[in-house]
Amino acid sequence: MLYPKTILLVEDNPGDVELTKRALRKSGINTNMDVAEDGAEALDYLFCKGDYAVRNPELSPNLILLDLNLPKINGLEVLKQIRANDKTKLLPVVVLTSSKEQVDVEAAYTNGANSYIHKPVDFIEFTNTINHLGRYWLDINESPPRI
Amino acid sequence: MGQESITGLKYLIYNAALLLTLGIIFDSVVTHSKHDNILTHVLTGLGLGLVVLAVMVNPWQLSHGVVFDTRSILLSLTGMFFGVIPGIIAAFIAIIFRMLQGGAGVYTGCSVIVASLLWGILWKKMHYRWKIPYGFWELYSLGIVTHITMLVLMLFMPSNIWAYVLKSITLPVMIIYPLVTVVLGQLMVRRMQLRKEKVRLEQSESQFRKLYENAPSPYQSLDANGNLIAVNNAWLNALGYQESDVLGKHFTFVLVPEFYQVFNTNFPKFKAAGRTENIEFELLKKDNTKILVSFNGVIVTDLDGHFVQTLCVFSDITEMRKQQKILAESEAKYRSLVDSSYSSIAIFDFEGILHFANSGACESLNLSEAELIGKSMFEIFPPGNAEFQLKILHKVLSTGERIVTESYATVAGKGVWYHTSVSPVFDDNGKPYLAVVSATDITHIKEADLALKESQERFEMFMDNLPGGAFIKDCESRVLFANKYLKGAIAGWQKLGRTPSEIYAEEEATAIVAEDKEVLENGLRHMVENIVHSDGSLHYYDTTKFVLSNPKGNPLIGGITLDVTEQRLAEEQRNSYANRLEILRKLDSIVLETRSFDSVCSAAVENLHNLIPFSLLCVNVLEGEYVRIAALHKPAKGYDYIQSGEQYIPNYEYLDYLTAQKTLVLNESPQSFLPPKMPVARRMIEDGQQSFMYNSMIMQDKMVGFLWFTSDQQGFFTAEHQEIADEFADQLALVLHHLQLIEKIQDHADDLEQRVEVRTNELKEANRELESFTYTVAHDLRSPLRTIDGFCSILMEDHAAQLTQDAMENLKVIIKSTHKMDTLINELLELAKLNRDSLKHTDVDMQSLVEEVCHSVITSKVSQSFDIQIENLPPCRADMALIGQVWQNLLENAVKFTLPKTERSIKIGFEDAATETIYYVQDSGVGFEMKYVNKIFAVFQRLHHEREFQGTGIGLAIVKKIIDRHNGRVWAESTIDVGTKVYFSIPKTRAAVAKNLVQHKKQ
Repeated sequence: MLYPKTILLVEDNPGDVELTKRALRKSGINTNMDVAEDGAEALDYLFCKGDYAVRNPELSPNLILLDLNLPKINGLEVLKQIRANDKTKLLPVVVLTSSKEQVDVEAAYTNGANSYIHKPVDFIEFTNTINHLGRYWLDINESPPRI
Repeated sequence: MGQESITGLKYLIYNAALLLTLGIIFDSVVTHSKHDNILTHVLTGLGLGLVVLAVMVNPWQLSHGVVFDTRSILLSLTGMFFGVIPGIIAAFIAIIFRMLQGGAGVYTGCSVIVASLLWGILWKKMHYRWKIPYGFWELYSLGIVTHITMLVLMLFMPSNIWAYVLKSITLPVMIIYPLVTVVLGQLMVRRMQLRKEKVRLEQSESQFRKLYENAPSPYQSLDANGNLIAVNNAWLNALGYQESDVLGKHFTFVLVPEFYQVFNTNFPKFKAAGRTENIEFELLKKDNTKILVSFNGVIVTDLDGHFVQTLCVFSDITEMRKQQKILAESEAKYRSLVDSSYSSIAIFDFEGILHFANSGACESLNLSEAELIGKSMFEIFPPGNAEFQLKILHKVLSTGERIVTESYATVAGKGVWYHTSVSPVFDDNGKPYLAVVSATDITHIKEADLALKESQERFEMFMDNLPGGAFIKDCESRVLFANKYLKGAIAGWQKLGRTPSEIYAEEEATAIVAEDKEVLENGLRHMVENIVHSDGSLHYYDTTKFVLSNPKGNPLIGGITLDVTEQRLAEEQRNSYANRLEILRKLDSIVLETRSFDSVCSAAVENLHNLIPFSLLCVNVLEGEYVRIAALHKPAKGYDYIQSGEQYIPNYEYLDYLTAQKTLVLNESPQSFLPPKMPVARRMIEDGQQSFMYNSMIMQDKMVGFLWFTSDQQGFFTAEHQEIADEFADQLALVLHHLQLIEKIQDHADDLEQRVEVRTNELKEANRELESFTYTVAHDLRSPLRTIDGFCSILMEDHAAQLTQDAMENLKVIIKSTHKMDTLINELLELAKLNRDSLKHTDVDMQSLVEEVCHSVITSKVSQSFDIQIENLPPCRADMALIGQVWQNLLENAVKFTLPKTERSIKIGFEDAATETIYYVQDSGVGFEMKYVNKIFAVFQRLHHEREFQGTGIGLAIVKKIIDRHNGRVWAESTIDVGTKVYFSIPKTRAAVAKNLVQHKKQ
């Protein structure tokens, strides 16, 4: 493995970012995490625009953890744009959100989410969930070919 | 006369006889050739030369060398009859011979020969030139001249003998020679004539033979025994035989046996009588067919009158007989036809004499035909009538044209009508010579005719006295009959036989023809037409057209039509009233539909124009001190100084006057009536408006407005107009009043509506906020909880060493609170969801559902300490997930509130009601005071302290919500320290209710 696998976390709550980082760290998965604090930043990152214009477009993330309730551009819209672009349409996107609403679940899958995970409030549960998630998507699951 | 003369006479007679004999022999020997050529002449000349030699050989020798013979006669006649060539040859021979005889008279003799010949030729020329016949005197004169010449020539003889010669011969010569010339000449003439006759006969015979052979009629000739001796080609052709088949056979060979007797009887008679006519035989042709022939014939007899042969011609009358038979039959038919005719038919000649009468004529005159023939008209017809008929007969015979008359005569004391036709019969030259008079007794026809006429007259009288029109047309719409009424009323109907296009304008005519066609197709048509009378007035006609089936030809169209103008006008008036009502009704409906008075007025004004064709109408409404023009109808052009919506200050005095008058009509010179200071009205008068009408709109004794009509016609506004306008004004006043009321109501309604709208918007906004709130709760309220929980956990994990026991406990409390908060959020979301989501009704098996829920709620660690009874629960129709939630909440509560007790029992049961099923959960828990019963189902209402019983206070609220949504009921019964019983009911389906009812009845 030349590079550690990259996760793009799209999350506006710094607490959640910290908890996620910690959970991943504790799980011992060799990974590199980039964070986008809102939808617009996530899209800039993915399409190498704005502040991310200098990013190597070849290095697209191995997994995107996407919150739905985001400032500027919400999670569903980000998902739509990822799926609409040939460069990113195959990227694994896991929706990670506080909502248990059926409407949100449906909308996420309809727009091409690979997985939908509800963030547990309990810290231990949360850590377990992230741990499982990371293992599955980064270790077990075969990444789609890079385009 | 001397001795020599007598001797000479004797010799000369001898010589003459010889000449005559030889002449006759010559004539019979020499057959005269028909061909007139040189050879014939030469041969004739040589022949004659021999005859001359013969007579010269036997001369009378007077003296030596002086001889006399009849050569002069022969040569003169030769010249005369045979011409120059034979004459010269004969003369030459004679001269040679005389020269050989020699003697004293040799030259004289020769000259006599030449002279005789010349005289003969001269006579021949004279005969041809002057057509002198060869009669006695001509021949005699030739003889005299020739022989005088001869005697004169004697003088040239030697002088010693001439006197002697003359003395001896003169007398005999002059006596005999001319006579012999005559005799021989006559003989020649006779022979010549005979020759001519013979030629003619031969020609005639040959012609006859040709005729006979080629004659178109068949000829035959029978001998005395009746054998066929000659037949011609036509005969052979007619019977198909060859000549050899029949010649020599008896006539009966070609005769049909039945006619042998006829032949045998008639042939002797024929021979005796010499001729026969129209004897008919049937002959047998070679091919065995028979032909009927008619013979005509004569017999040929010899000079003695003895029978030689018959000459008969026959003609084939087979066809003729056939034709005669046909003719006879036709005549018989014709006769029977004529006889069978009802009419009396007779043929008269110019004199009026009857030649023929048929049985009808015989019967009518009661005489036989035989008795009638030969009688004159005067004996047959009644006196007066006969002259009349004869006159007609003469006219017919003179003009050759048929005349038909009708006459009346008294026959046997009875009046009889005759229809008489007199036709001419023409002879071969095309001249009329007879007249066929055909008379028919038409008395009964006449009587019928008269009856018909009478009937016709009655019909016409009926038709002419009809109060309306009646007509008959043919299928091409041609007028065949029109009664007096129509003829009088409508131009163009006076003359019959005219088509609509000849009576009406093209468009109208086309319509009428189409209409008539429709009548012919459909049988009947009823219509109201407007027709312009001859006097120019317009009338309405109620017309019914119908088909008259015509047995004789195309169907006809009959029609009756009544002038309904008066009814029509009355109806129109009624209609106009109805129309008025309709317009007023419309006005009402406009009032109901429309909210503004101006739009009511505008709509009404347009309708009003249909009733009163005014030029201008202005609806004025009083508004405070002003008058406003609420609606205006004015001509398309001009009148810009008056506009709809304008306000003006009225002349109050005039308004008061109007209010008092109610209506004011100024049909003539309104300017004289109007007060000054009404500039608009005055301008209108200047612009040609001549009649004014004002109608006040009065409501509750107060003027609210007025109508102002104008017209450019003087005396325009009628009483009816006024009436309508008044009604209209009243109506408008009412409308105005109504509208004012409606406006008030409307204002209130508008206010109300506005308030409702505001509230609705507020509510909507609240709902939106609530939804947004829910969403926020779902997403955002959890995140801080997780952060708090997360970071507290991190603190406890990472910094446990630095924290006091007390701090650790506090952190645990924080974590516990966050968990509780999470539960609370979840339940609130659940409750909110209940409002939003629709129910999914299914048949719910309550028994197994309850058992399932019990398993999950009453965990293994507490289960043994609980006495749980579950009755056999009936199923229901409900949303399974939600009902499951109900059971879960109720059971959780039951467990929760029973745990503190030592006796722990939970009973799940049901009660069956008529329209619902009531389920309940009964526990032996702590219970609650019944005065709080209404609180337990409210959100966040708790009856116990949290440290006693965990819980959010939402559980029963959710239960109530779910049961409410199922149209059921929830209630509870409780006793402190005894336990609580919570009921809920689910309504039964209609089918279940029905089923239940039936069961109840059975019981």
